[in-house]
Amino acid sequence: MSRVLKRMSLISRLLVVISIGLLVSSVVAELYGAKLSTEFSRNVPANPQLASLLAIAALTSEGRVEVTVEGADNVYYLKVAGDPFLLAQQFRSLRLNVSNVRSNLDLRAGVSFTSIQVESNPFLVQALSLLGNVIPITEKRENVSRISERIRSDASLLIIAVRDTPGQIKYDIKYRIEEYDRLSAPQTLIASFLMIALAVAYEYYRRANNKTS
Amino acid sequence: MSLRTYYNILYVDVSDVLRPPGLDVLILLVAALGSALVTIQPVTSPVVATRIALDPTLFAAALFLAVRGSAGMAYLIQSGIVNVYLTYPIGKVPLAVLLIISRVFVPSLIVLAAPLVILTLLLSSVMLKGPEKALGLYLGFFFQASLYGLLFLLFALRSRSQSTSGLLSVSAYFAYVALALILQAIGRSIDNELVRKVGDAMYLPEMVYSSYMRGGVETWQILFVPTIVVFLFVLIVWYFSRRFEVV
Repeated sequence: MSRVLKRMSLISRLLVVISIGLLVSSVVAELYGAKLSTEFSRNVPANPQLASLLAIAALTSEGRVEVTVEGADNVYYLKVAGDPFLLAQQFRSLRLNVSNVRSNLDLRAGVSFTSIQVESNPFLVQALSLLGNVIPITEKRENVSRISERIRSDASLLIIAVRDTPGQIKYDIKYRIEEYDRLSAPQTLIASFLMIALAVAYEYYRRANNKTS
Repeated sequence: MSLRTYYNILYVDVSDVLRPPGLDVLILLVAALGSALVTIQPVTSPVVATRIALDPTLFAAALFLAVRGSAGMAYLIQSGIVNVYLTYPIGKVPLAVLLIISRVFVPSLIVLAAPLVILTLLLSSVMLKGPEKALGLYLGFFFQASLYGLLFLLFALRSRSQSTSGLLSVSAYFAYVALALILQAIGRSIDNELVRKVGDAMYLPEMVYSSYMRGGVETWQILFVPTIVVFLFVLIVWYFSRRFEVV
């Protein structure tokens, strides 16, 4: 193999190597590649002293997120830049008492869901408004609030749910990825073969030229 | 002194640096694995895709520059090939520039470009959303790799020993990365913005990425690594032209 490579020009070698790399990454993508939607649900305890926060962070993807929040008396949301790990730091810098941080990463959907419990106080919403524009949900049906928002890469949707009495808050999230597309396996195969053919043709041309000169 | 002479020296040295099968295996691995890392996630931004693919590639590029660039240069000195180069009818300054191009710039450009080419083919609809941003981030990675490569080359010229320059290069790489992390940590713990920002600025790809994704990056932070690159470039050319003589 090494002897064959030594006879080839740099351009041909790069073409062959890149075509093999393209095939390998295409096979990985077909077997374990990105998925275009995901769902997540979680029940969290809440009471008047303990508000619940849910951060949906589009780490690598972007798309539309639909959230239903059940069992909360007041629901607010805001969009912030950065991932949930940065958010936890920002909460601490706002002197909010953060506890019970639980994160679920869905790598194949490029999104993470993090639930956080925050010590509730009358200035919680005011403090969070320092991070972004806090929007209250005013319309509720059968104690269920709905949020539908588009989030872009490296941004998070933060939902704050507060209960006036002790109980559970249930989150149901559907996330649909938008604006994602990649070459199909047959297209990749054609592209790889074209590159190898180009390398062979170039080598043939180069050697023919060397012989004549 | 014609351009042909420059081209011949550059061609011979580039052929030595990029000889098979080392480069081929490295590119195959970094390109396939770097782009596979991207395809297992639904990446919709060219900046994010470039970052995911090139972060591990930069590590591979640094090792390649330490072995082929730095230790390879020490071998050229030990074996007397540099003395042969010095007998060519070109000045020492252009020769130093040619050696920097062939030992640092060309390998960095090629190793870092390989995963990007695969990504551009595989995720063309994503990558073509902002090709200038992907290119900007690629340049960020290129400058970072060049910084490592120039530092390694300086060690090779100074030590003139393959093993010493190889060891110094790998040590310097880890020291640089650790120093950046330490400055960031210290800056955060003592709440000193300047120290933290210097730590951040030591990794140019992060600065370019942040400026595209979040903003809030200062101009001096973007110029920090390129300035060190220019300084090391001038230092190497100066050192080579002063310390190397035709024997």
